[in-house]
Amino acid sequence: MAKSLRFVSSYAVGIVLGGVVFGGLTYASAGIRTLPAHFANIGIHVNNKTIKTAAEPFIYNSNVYVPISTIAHGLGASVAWNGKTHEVLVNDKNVASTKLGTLNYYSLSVYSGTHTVLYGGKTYIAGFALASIANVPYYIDSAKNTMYFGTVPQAGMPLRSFIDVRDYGDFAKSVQGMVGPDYGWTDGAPKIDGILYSNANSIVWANSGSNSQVPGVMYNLKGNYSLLTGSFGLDDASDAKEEAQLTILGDGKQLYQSPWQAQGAPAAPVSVDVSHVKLLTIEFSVMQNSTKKVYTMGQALPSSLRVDIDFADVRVH
Amino acid sequence: MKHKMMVMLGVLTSAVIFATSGYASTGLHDIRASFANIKLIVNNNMIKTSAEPFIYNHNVYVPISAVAHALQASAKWVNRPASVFVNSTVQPVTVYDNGQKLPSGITDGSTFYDVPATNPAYVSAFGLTPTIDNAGNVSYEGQTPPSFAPSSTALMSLTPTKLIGDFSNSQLYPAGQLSGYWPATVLGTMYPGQFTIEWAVTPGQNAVVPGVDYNLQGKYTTLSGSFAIDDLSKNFDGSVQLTFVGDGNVLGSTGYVQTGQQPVPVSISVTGVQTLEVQYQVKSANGTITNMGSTYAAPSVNPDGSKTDPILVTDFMNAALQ
Repeated sequence: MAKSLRFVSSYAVGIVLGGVVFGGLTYASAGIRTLPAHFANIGIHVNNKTIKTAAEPFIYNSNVYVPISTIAHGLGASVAWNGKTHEVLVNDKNVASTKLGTLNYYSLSVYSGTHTVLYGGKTYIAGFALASIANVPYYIDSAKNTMYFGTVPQAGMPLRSFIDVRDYGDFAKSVQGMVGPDYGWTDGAPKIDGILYSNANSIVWANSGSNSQVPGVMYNLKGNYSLLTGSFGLDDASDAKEEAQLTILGDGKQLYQSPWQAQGAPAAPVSVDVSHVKLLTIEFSVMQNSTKKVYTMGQALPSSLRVDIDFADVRVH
Repeated sequence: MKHKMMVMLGVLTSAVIFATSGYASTGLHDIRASFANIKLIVNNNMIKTSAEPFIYNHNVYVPISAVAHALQASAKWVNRPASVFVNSTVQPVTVYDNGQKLPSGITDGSTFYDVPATNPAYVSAFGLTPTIDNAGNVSYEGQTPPSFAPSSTALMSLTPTKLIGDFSNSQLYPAGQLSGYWPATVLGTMYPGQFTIEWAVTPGQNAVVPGVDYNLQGKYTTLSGSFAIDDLSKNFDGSVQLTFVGDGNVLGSTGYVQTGQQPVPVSISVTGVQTLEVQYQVKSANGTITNMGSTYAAPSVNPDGSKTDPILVTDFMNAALQ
């Protein structure tokens, strides 16, 4: 094997020299060459189908070589050979051609850099762009290659898929250039009474410093949903000096109020009828154990408290 | 090189042991390959390959990684049994709208999920018609735009006879044009900016509360539309109202409108009215009211702490006369 290794190396040098001599074309000079090829009964599988071919693949110079017609046909492309120009012409309508343009609504720019793709003779537009223009939430299940607009059967549509239309307290402040609620902790999933919850789909809040105000957020459900579910409680990272409460309003009317939740207590299961509700408001409140003083949405919280609130896995159905 | 060689040895060993099907004998063979500066051209683009294609046994052979890449597929090598798995990068996506299945979209397997939004099923489901130009710019319009009766006259089609406050500031509103600066968005819902009277206050702006007059010539009976604070200033802590004055008489008002509030519908009788005046009033969080023509002392920063985002953005949407 050592001998063939040297042979391969010297051939690689030959390619480089040929490239220099012939300029423009980076390949070796034309002609018949004898190459050491490894045959190993290599199977070819294209898009989960096994391709049978009379022309066998082999390994040469650390590359797997295949007959181009085999692969191209397997991928749905057509192949032609031009013997005069020595060109292999592959025509594949399933090669996506992507452009980034401006997204407009009635000719007024909404944002730039929207994604359009020409693929298989059809035009595709970023699903996100359609959802934002139509004002409908969307959810992508990447494991199933599925995109849901509006509703997600069974599991429910995560509330984070909606645009926040009004923010209160800390959520109304710019955090890293973004205004709005925090969905999920950066240091791990919400944990209430030892139980972990879906991080990405949870609305969370921790106070910081003396300027922290108890937050809240409003979403526009447009009357399209019937049930809101989730789990509410103080995260196990709280300091046990306070209790937290969740209030949910639909179009200004109170729909639900949780019990006061202590640190280490099991999460309060939330299941609220939101039929016909257009504007949904989620409000947090904090009660200091030592003083029994209650801090409602928008009020500043003493910096002596360390509050971590989880409204975990919030979804509408 | 040594590492790669060891991989190949592994391939050969496994092939010998596990080989069950197919081809000629395994192992190292010298083959006669014809090199002819073969070019690989995919959809009219020449593909650069690090390893050269050649002809062997009447077939053009190419390195599988090169052709897979050119055809937007991934090539994965598996040792036992020796196999190459080629999978298209672009995969179909199942799409549901409120549980109803729509024609499939595509994904490149990473960030992008794209849908055939021009398909009639999508146009019908979302009520939106997209047009796409050659540069990839997308413009959406509603199927039945705008939301006032076709027989109506858009207020925006009339030329103002008097501009007051900010509206008379030609740096803010060149040529007295009061609409078409942004796509109006309220509670996430978009409205055509062309039919929206748009007034905004940005930090540092010397804002004078505006108003505008139109000469209706007694030709109309009703002024309709809706008024709201735009999502661009969704956390503005004050409120704004419009008052409609016809020939000096107050015809009606929207009342003070806050953020997080549905657009307030406007339906005002303008029968016989010659001159219609739309007057703005702003109420600060502390209750101070600033009327049309007076300077509004806007906060220097946003509720969110930004010194650049607009303080207040208002939309008088789909303003129309009947």
